[in-house]
Amino acid sequence: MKNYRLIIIVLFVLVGWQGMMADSNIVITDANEVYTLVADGKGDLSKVKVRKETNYMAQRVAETAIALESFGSHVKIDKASAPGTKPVYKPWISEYVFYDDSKMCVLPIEIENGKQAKAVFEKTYTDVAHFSTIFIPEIYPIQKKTIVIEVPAALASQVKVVEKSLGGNVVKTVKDGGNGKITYFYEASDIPEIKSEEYMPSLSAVAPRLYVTGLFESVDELYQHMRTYTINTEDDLTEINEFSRSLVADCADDMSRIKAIVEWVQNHIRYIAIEHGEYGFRPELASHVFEKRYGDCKGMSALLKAMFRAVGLDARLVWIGTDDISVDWTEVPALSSGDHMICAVMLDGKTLYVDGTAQYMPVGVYPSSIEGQQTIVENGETCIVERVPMIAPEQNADSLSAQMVIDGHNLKGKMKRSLTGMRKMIMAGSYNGKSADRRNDYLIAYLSYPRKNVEIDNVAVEGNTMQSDTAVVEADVIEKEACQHLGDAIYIDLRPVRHPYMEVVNIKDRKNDVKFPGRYNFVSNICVSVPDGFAVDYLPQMAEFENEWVKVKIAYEVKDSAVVCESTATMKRRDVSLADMQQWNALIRKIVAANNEQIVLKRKI
Amino acid sequence: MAVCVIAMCSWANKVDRKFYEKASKIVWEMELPQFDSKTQVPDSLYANESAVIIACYRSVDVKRVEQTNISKYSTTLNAYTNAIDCKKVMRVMVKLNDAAAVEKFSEFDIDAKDKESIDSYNVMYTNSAFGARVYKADGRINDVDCGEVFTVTEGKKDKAMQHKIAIPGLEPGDVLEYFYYDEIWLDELDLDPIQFPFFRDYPAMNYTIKCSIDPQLTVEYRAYNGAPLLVGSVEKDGTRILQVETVNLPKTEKGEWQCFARQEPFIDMRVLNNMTKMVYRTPSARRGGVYCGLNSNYYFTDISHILSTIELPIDIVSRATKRAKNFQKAHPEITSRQLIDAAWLAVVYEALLDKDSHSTLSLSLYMADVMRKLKVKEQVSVGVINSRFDVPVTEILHWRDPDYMVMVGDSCYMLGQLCYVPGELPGEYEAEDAAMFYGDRKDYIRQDATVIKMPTTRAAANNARIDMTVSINADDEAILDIERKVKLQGSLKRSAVYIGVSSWVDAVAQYLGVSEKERKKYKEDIDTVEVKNKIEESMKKELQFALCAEPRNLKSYSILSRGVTPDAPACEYVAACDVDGLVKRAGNDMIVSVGKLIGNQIKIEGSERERACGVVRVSAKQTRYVIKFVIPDGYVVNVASLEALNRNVANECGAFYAQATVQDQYLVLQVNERYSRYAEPVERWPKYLQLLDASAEFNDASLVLTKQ
Repeated sequence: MKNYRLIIIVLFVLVGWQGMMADSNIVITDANEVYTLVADGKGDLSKVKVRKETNYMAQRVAETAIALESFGSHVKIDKASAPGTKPVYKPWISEYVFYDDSKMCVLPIEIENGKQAKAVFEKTYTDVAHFSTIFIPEIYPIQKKTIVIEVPAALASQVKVVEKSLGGNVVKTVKDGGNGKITYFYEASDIPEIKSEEYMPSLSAVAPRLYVTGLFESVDELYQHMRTYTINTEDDLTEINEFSRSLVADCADDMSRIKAIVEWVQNHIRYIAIEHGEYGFRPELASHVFEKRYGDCKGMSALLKAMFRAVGLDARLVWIGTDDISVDWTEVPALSSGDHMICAVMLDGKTLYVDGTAQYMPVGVYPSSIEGQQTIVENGETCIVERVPMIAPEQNADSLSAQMVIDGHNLKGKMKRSLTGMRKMIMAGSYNGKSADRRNDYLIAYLSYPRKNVEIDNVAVEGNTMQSDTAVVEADVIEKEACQHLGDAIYIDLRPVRHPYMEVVNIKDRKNDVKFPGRYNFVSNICVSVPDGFAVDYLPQMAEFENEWVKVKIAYEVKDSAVVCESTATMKRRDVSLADMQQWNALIRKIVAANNEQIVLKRKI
Repeated sequence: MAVCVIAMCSWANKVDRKFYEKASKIVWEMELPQFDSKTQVPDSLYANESAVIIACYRSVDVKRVEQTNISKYSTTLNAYTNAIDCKKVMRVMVKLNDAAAVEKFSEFDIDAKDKESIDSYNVMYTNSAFGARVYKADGRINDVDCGEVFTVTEGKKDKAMQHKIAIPGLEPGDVLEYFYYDEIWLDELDLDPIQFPFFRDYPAMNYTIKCSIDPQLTVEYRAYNGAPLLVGSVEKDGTRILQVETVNLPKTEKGEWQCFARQEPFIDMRVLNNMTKMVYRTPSARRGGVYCGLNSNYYFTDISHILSTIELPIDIVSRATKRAKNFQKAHPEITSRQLIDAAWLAVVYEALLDKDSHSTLSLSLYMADVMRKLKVKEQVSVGVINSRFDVPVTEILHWRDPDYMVMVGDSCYMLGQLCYVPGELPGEYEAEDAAMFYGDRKDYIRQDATVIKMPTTRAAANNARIDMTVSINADDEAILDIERKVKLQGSLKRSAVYIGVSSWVDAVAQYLGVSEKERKKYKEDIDTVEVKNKIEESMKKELQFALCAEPRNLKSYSILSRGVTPDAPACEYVAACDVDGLVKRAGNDMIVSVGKLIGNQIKIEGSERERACGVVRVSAKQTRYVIKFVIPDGYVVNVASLEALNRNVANECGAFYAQATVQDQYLVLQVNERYSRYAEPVERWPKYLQLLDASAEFNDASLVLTKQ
C-alpha cells in the first residue's frame, strides 16, 4: 500500500513541474525492466528481484535527466549507477503526510545534446506483500519499453498478471520455458509522459499498468495477512471503555450512540498521517490515539472500533481503496488495492460504515472518495466482502432560496443556503478550519460565487457541527451590477444555477479523462419582486437538459408580482472519458447559455 | 497539578536525548513569571481571536572563545580558535481557542544536528532541541517527551536531516508552552542575522527579549518602524546585557500592498566576529562592543573599502569593452549616452553568459571599469540602494545588505528584472536614497558617501496600453474572437518578465550586433522548444486573467519587442484567441460582458476593507484599454446600456474612467485606470478603495445589443 502510493505521489510531484512540458527534451529511448519472482523451498513467493535499465537521451540541448527509484523498509536498493554521477538518497516528504520513512534513490545524469546515458537500478522486495503494481509510463516520454516478469515453475499456477488501461501501444506475449517457468513480456512503444491535468482521475486509474497477483490467492488470504497487523491483546482499553460509556449515557438508541461517538472522535482527534515500516499497515493502538488525540485513518478506525464496542455495538475494522484506487480487492487481491481504513458497525443486519477522517459528514452519508468502493470487513477468521453504498446526488445538496428586490443596479435581499452531505462537509470543514477572524471572509466568498461584487451582511451559520445533517447559512446580500436599467427596461442577470462543476472542459491538448470531485445537487428558488410600474417583458423559456452525466432544469414563472425561478442541477456521474468530452462540453454550453439568459422587465405604459 | 509525561514509542527517533534533556532543564528552570498558564486572557481585548500568545521570550547568549587549536593549525596554520559560542532560546506560551489554532500549533519542525569541518578542524557545529508542555483546562499538565519526535533521514547511512513532532493531546481550550533551544559554534565566522519582530499573526500579551553579549564580540543592531530599543547594562565581567519587555502587542493584519520592512516594528541584530584573522574585514569594522542605530556613514565607509579593494576578474570588462567599441564602430553617429547604454548591455550580456555568477556589486564595478576604458566624459559613480520593500539604504546594517548600482551622469544602471532598458530605474527603487562614491575606485575610501535621492516617475511613465478588437464568432454567437495587442512601458514591463532570459539575450545580442556564429554557441544551451512552451503557457494564463475566462484556443501570438534595448524600449506583444461565456441572451437581445475584457480586477472584501497601514506598491501606474467591439449585423447598441458603461471616479489617489461610444460598426470602449503614486498613507485608504471598487464593479458591466 505504502510503496504503491509513494510511486504514484512521486510521479505526480515530479509531474507538477514536468506536467506542462509537452515536447520533453529528455526522452527514454529504451527501457528494460525485469521482475524475477523467487520461490522458497516451500513453493511460496519469498522475494522479488528487479533490474531496471533505462536509456535517456537529450534531444535538443544538454540537460540533467533524473532517474529515480523508491525504496524503504520493504524494498532495498542493491545497485544504482549511471555514468558520471553518484546516487543520492533522499527522504520522501509530502505536505499531506506528517512523516513517511519512504525514500527515493535519485541519479541526476548530465547528458550532452544528442547523447544517451544509461541508468541501472537493482532492487529487492524483501517483503513481497508490498510488491504488486508495475506502472508503464514514466516522467519522460518513452519510445520503447520492455517489461519482463519471470515466474518460476513453483509459482506458475498461482501467479497471474492483471492488465489495466494498456491501450494499443502495449503488446503482450507469454512464453512457456518448457521447464514450467513462465515469462510474461510486455513491449510498449510511444508511451507519453505522465501529465497532470485539472480534474484528472488518479494515475492508478488511467496509467497503463500491471498487477502481479498470486501471493494471496484470494481475498480471504489477503485478509488473513492484513488481519495480522490488527490483532493485539496488549491495549489497555479501560479508560476508553469508561469514557465511551459516559459519553453515550443519555443516548436513547444505537444510532444516537454511534453519532455521539463519531462526533467526539471527529472533534477531538486530529488527523495526522504517519507512514513508517509496518505502521503503514498496523493501526496505532486505540489507547494511544485516545491519549495523543491524533491519528491517521487506521488509528482513528481502531479508536472508533474500541469505543463502539465499549457501548455494546458490533464494530469492525474495514479495509478499503478510495476512489484513487481503480481495482477491487476481488480482482487484485493485493495490499495495493487499498489505501484507507474505516470502521463499520453491524446494525440491524446491515453494515453501517463510519469514516473517522470524513469530518462534518454525518453518519450514513458517504463521501465520494469511498462511495461504491469495495470493502473487506473483518469477521473473525474470515472476512465479508461488500461495497459502500452509492449516495444519491440529492444527499449532497446545496439548496439556495432567496427573496430579492431590485435596488438600483443591484439585487438585494435575503439568501439562505442549506447544505447536506458533501456540500455541508466542504463548507463546514473550511469554515471551522479558518481562524475565527477569517470565517466571515470565507462565507462572503462562498455565498458570492459565481459573482464578484456581492456585499454580505448579517451572516448566521447553524448546524455546522460534525454530525448535523444540514448546515444552514443565512445572510443579507446585495448582488451588485446584477441589473441594468436601460431606458424603460430592466435586465436582470439572475444566474440561478450555481453548481461548481457545470463548466466546459478545455479539451485541446488534454490527455486524460475527467473525474469531478463529487456528484452534487444544486437547487435554487429565487424570487425577485417586480417593481411597481413594471411588468415582465421577457422570461426565459423553461430549459431542460439531460445526458448520462447531468440533469438540469431551469423554470421561470410570474407569481404575485414577482418572478420566481426554480432550478435544479444534478451531477449524476462524475467521470467523463476523453472520448465523451465533446458531448459533455456541448451540453454544458447549452446549460451555461440558458443559465446566462436574462429576464427583461419593461415599464408599463 | 499532575505532570504527566506522554512518551510513546517512536520508531523513527534519532534525537540526542541527552541534549534534549539538558535543554529542557535549562529552559523550564528559567524564572519567567510571565509564563503563567492561568493568566486571564481578557475578552475585551481578545474575544474572537483564534489564539493568544500569553508570553514569548527570546534570549541570545553569545561568548567568544579563544584557545589553542592543534587541528586548526594543521589545516590552516592558524593555531587559535576564534569562535562564537551561541545559545539561543525561544519560549512561547499560547492559548488555543479553536481548531484552527490547534492545527497551527500542533506540528513543529526542528533542525537536526549539523557540523562542518575541514579534516579534523571543526568550523561549525549546530544543535537544536525542542520541548513542549500542554496545560489542560482541568489542571493537568502534560510534558511532551522527546521520544515523540520523528527524524527524517537522508543518505545511504540515514543521516538525520530534520526532526518533526506532532504535539499529542492538544485540544481547543488548552494552553501550549513550547521552546526551541539552539547551540551554535562558529569558528572565525559571524552569526546569521537575528531578527526580533514585533508583529505577529496573533496578539501577544508579553514579549521579552534578552541578549547577553561577550564584550569582545561586535553587536550592531537597529530598531525599525518604532520598535523599542533594547535597554543596555554591563555585568561585572564586562558582559553586555540588552533587554526589553513589551506588553499587549496587537496582531498584525495581513493584506495586499504591505511592506513589513517599512511598516512593521522589528529589531535586526548582527553579531560579528570582527577579531577574525581568516575572514576579510574592512579596516573600518567595529571592535568589540554594542552599537545601536549606528550612523549609516560607518556602513558606507565599510562599503567604500569593499568597492575600492575588491579584485574582480578582468575578462568580463575586456569583452564588454570590446563589444561597446564594436558597437561604436558600427554606429559612428551614436551619442555618448547611446554608447554608455550599449556598454551596460554588453556588461550584463557577458555576465549572464559567463559560467560564473556575478553579483550586483560586480556588475556595477565592471561597468565603472568599462566607462574608464571607453573614456566617457560623464561622471561615473558607484553606490548602494535598497528597494522600497526593504529597509532604507540609510538604515542598513552590513555592506552585504543593499543592492549595488552604478550611475553614469544622471542615468542609473541596475540589473532589475531583465525587463528594463539601460538607464531605466526599476519602479521599486524610485524615490529611494542611494549612497554614491565618485571618481576612481581607489579614491572611494578617501571620501564620504554622497546620499542622493532617486527620481520618481509619474503614472504615465509606467503604463500599459491594451488595444483589442472583439467580435462575436460567426458560427457560434456564444464565442468571442479576440485580438489583443499589449504595449508595456516602465515598471509595468515586469508583468512580461515570463518572456524569459533567453529572449533578453536574443534581443540584446541583436542590438549589439553579435555575430550569428557567436549567437549559435549560446543557443546550443537553450531548449527553444521548452522556452516556447513556457511562453505559450504563460501567455494562456495571462489571457485567462485578462479576459476573466479561460481561452478556448490560443490561435496565435507574437512577441514584437522585448522592451530591453534603447531602440525599442516598450515591451509589445500580440495574441489572438477565442473565449466562451462572455455573451448571454435576453430574449432577442444579446448581452456582452464587456467589463470582463479589462481583466480580473482585485476585489477587496470583508475584513480586508479595514486597513491599519498604508499602501506600498512598485510604482505609480496607468493602464489604458481601447476595446473595439464589432457590432454584429442586425443588432444595434442599446443607448441606455451604452451610457451605463460610462464611469468617472477620480480622487487624489488616481482615477477610473470609462467611456463608450459607437463609431461606425464598432462600439469603442476606452477605459483608463490610474494610480497616481507608488504609496499612499493609511488615511487615504478609503479613497484608494473607491478606485479599487470602481474597477471591480466595472468587471460586471455589460453591453446590451438589441435586435433590429
